[in-house]
Amino acid sequence: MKLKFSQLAKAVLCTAAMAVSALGSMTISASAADNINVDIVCKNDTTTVSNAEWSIYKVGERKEADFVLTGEFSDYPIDMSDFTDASKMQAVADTLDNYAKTDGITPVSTGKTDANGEVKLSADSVGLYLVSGKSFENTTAKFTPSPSLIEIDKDIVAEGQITVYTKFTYEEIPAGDSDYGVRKSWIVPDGQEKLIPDNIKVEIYRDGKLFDTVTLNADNNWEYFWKDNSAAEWTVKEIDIPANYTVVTKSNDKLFLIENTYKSDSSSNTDSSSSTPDSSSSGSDSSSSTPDSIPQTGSLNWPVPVLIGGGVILIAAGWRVSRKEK
Amino acid sequence: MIIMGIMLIAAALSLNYYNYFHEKQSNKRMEAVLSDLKTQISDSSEDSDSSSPFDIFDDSRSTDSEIDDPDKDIVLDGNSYIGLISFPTLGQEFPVTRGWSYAAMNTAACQYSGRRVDNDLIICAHNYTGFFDKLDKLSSGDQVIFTDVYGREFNYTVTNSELLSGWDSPSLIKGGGSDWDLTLFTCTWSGYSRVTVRLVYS
Repeated sequence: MKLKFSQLAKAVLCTAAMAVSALGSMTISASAADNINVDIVCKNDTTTVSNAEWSIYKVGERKEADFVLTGEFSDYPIDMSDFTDASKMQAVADTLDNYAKTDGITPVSTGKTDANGEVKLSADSVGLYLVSGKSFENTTAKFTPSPSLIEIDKDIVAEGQITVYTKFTYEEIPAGDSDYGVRKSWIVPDGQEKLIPDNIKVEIYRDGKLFDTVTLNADNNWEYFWKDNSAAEWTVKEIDIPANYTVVTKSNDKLFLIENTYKSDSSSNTDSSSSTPDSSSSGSDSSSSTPDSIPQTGSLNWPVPVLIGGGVILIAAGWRVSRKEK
Repeated sequence: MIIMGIMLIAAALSLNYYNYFHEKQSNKRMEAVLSDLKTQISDSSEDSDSSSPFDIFDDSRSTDSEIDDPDKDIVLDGNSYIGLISFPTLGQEFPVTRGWSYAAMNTAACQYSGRRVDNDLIICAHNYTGFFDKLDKLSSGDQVIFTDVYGREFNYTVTNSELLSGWDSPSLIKGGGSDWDLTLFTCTWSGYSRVTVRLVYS
């Protein structure tokens, strides 16, 4: 009997332990599987864009203070070390967007905006995500979205939701063909122009399909232009990127600038000490900070009606008193 | 009491006249500065040899020390100017000083905080006649142009306007570089609130 009881106790304890373990793993699994709603808003005061396709791609993860590219984006030569500058961050977003579309990378989630210009996408883990829209045109205007980067951290996972207000242009379609262009720009240390290759090849994609492959060199000023109708979405991709160069692709809807920056093994990052200056500065009587109060930027007008009102009341009251005394 | 009432009304009229006179003087100074500034910007852009359509991307390189170099500001009458801002739909144009002060605001619009290259520039100006008095007339979709000291023009589109409390600096600054790229503000007539216009780079 005792033996049976101890065996029974062991069995109960084992079962309990397994149950706790399973519960723990279920809890962990549930957290990992919980979707984080990424609500895309594609509208402004004058324009609500419906039927616009937006996608999110997981491009990286945080590693201490920086981000590192992961997954299908891990091999792209993009400098992820400085996100303190908004323009640099936008340039990285533009470059990643260009690669995602050119190389046909599958997004984590995709959808089209409804009549309210909104669409719910979803992510399932912490990380750095690219929010990418697809341009299109209708009979009157062309929609050109601007990509952006968002970080989903533990706080957002706990909330389960993040809203992204997208930037875009919605412009009238110009008549006829439009001019397009791509330029190559090289950033090398002073006096090290020998590091610049003789030429590079760039593939031009029209709506995701290879349109042309062009060679850029000093003879053509590292530029190439072409004409086409503006209904297509264009992307470009440099092939055979030279070693030790990082790439940034900047673009509007018609021009592409592929900027390669040389990074030697011993070189430091470019000076990032050009920090944002004090938010208010210079001149006499200037504020040295941006306190909660906002500067008075107007004439002292409010006392005028108060004084006039007070004066009228006093005159009226004085007149009444003098009448009573009479 | 009648005499006191008359004195109050006289004080109101005096204040009103002082405001009118002060605004008129400020306008004169601003017009003079604007004329000089446009001449100097025009000279500066003629010296530049850049004529490529790809120059629109040059502003994004924060490693370029010329982009926001105070040494490149145009100095006029003791104030440093970073450029000028235009409201084509309202037919208005203003010089913009680097930083702000109450003295500078009597002559020009001022950089309150942020930088154009960081897409978080905030520009303020008085609501005087001829200054930002028509700021509330800017509507969504209207274009605003910032011209820097090199003559390069940067187009912005109005996305929305809002009224902020004069004590709500955090709300004024919030969203720079993400929700908006440029903000303009001035006082309402009462001076209690701030007419705030948000714009995105287009």
